[in-house]
Amino acid sequence: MRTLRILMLAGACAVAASGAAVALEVDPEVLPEINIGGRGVVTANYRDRDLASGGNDNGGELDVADSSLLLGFSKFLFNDVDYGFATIGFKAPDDDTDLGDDIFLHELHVGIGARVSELLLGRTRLTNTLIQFPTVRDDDLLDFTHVANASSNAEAEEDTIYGTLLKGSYYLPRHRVALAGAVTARTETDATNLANVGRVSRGNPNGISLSIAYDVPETIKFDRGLRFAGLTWDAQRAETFSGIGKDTVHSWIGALSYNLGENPEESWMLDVQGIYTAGGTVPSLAQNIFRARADSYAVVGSLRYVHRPYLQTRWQAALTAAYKDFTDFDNAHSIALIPSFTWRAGSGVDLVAQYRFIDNGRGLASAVNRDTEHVVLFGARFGFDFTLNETVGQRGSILNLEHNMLDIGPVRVGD
Amino acid sequence: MTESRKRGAGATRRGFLKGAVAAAGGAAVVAGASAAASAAAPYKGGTGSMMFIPGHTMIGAHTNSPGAPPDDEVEYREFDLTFELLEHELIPRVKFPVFAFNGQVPGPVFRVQENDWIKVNATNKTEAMHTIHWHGVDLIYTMDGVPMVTQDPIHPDETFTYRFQARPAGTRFYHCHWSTPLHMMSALHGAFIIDSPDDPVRAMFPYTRDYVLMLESFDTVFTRKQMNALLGGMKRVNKLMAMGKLDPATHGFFRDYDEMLAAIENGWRPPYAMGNSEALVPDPNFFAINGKCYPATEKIGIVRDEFIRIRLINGGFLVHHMHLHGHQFWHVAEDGNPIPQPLRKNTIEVGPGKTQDIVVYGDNPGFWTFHDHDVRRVMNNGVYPGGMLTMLVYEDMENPPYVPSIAINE
Repeated sequence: MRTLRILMLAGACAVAASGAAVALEVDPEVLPEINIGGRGVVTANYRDRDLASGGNDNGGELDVADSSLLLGFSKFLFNDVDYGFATIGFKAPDDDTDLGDDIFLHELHVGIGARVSELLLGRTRLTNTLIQFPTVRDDDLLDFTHVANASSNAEAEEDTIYGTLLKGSYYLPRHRVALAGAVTARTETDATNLANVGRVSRGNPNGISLSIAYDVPETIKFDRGLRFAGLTWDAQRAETFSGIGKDTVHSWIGALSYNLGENPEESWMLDVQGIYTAGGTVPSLAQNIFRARADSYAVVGSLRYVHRPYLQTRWQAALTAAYKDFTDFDNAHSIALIPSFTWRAGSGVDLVAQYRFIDNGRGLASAVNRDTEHVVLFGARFGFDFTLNETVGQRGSILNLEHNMLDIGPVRVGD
Repeated sequence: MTESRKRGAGATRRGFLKGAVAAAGGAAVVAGASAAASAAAPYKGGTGSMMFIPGHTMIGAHTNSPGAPPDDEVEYREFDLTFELLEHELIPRVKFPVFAFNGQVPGPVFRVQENDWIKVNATNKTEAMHTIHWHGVDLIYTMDGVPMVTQDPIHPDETFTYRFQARPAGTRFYHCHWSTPLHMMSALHGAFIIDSPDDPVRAMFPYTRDYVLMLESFDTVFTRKQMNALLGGMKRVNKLMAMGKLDPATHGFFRDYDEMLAAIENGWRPPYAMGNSEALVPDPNFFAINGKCYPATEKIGIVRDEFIRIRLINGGFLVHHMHLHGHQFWHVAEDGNPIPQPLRKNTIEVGPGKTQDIVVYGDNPGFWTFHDHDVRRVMNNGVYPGGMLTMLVYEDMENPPYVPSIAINE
């Protein structure tokens, strides 16, 4: 009997191993192009928060959040021009997240691409921001830079940044214009069901978005002038939650990226983004969903200087300021200021430093129990991007799927 | 297959040969000759180069480099060559971007007589930089086509006129010498045949036809990637350099070695350093003869009792061992120079930069494979047979008992 089991197991293994070369099958298994990308982000943080209820919360920590690994696969279709692709990505969530897992599957999508168009289906970044700002982590200014998720009450940046999409992109390269449209399925959670949040793999379509952008190619971004201008309309259908009824939340995002200087070796960049959200009536700002559905506007601006003699980046200094106001509530505003510095130590190896100051107006401070906040951090980032069996050719670095600090600016509408 | 009898000078492509005219070039951007005072005095690096002059622009420029006789002293045979970007088909369903002379792969075959004075107007219609090196031709050094050694690279929309005397006789070739690994692999090469009435090979073997076989290896992925990167950024970098906004070191240009050392001291990161190199090394996946892979290669024709001459030119950087079935041919010339006592062979090595001439005598009617015996080069993207393979075909067989068909995936 034991022998029979071994033979059956061996037979099963043989069948599995022969999948790539089935007898009488002329079509071979084509090896995919494989992109491996990732980054490690490790910082030493010190925070000092004044709580609205009185008292103080301070302390230090070593933080590895936002470190990630990305695997991309692509193959030509039978016409040898168009291609199919798939991406899987893992990242380490923040400690204060409500996600139950140590690893979050933030990218898992498949798609088909052609020379000027792409169709993507699966989990990836939502189309709820247009500009990357020079902060160490993508959630350092999340409340200001992204349209919030009106269907999740969890304390999880992942629910705001990522979702399941059916997205189509079309490029007009001669006009430097990119168009994108998406049906979005944002993660739906409530405050009583957080135990399952980390394992959500399905999403109900609950929104749509349309984007248009004028986007100068990377290669000429160091010419003086407008590099990027984008506009996105984002609509979310939100279900009944804690006493507030179904609602549709509309957000408009506008962004500009401008090169102020004429010296490509000493670049001055100005990035500005505004978000206006027209939501519904909410009883307070005390819960995440309430704030996501409330009427608000947010403006973020960043001035960056990049020192790059011989077009080789050495360092970047940036100052980012942000303001947000919940217009239906008195003194419910927030101000943020983030100076940051990046020293390029090697290809993809950066030393970073950042100070973050946030001051909430009295109306908002009492709702979130946070008056002012100071966070100082020092650390390093290590990013890499490698391609095996390059056949299709990269559409761009797979690291473009991640938040970056150097050579940043627009979140490509087509990405 | 290129049959040189059909593709002699003036009969190849419309506009290629303009005729033996001695017209002066247009508005000349004449770089001064190196002013070496004596052999003992050191030369000042970068003399004559526009690359170190801020504000220079070569758009529409017509550069006549010094050193050759003026038009009124000798009678030039004048040719026009262009650098063009196109998509070339190696075999059905396999296309890749190439730079090509006069829009063809390989470039047109020059057919000139020994000691002819040659004038070639090379116009750059791409956004990359180029030069032309006349491989195996003994010419004036300012016409040798080595960028930053004998001339500045030919900029986009610039015309550079090469003038030289065609010598010595034999099988020579020409290729771009800028970004050589990419540009040779992306098809910027062609045959330059210098004939002589005193050809010792013809005296020994009265051949009636000769053929030029340019042996090529292409890494289509490397080429496409490099081409995209180059086309994406080169035009902008050139413009910024012309505007004086970038140091020549950005392109890796230095007047001399000391200046390069000083740039490194100043923080410039050499592109070859371990921490700064992409380490892209081409690994060819397609192998071609005259721009085509088997079964798209052209066949070589012969009839009984005929001598034919085959000129093999290695336009790539791999070593090829060309084997002819059913015949012992004569190896009659190497690097274009006649071999006094030809050797009988059936396989001949053609290394990078080499030309080998062989003569075949039609004494064994049939269909005979002629191919690189390194079977890795007789593949199309790893599928055998393909690549560097063609066939010697007797044209005067009446009823051959077996006629070849095609198998491309054995």
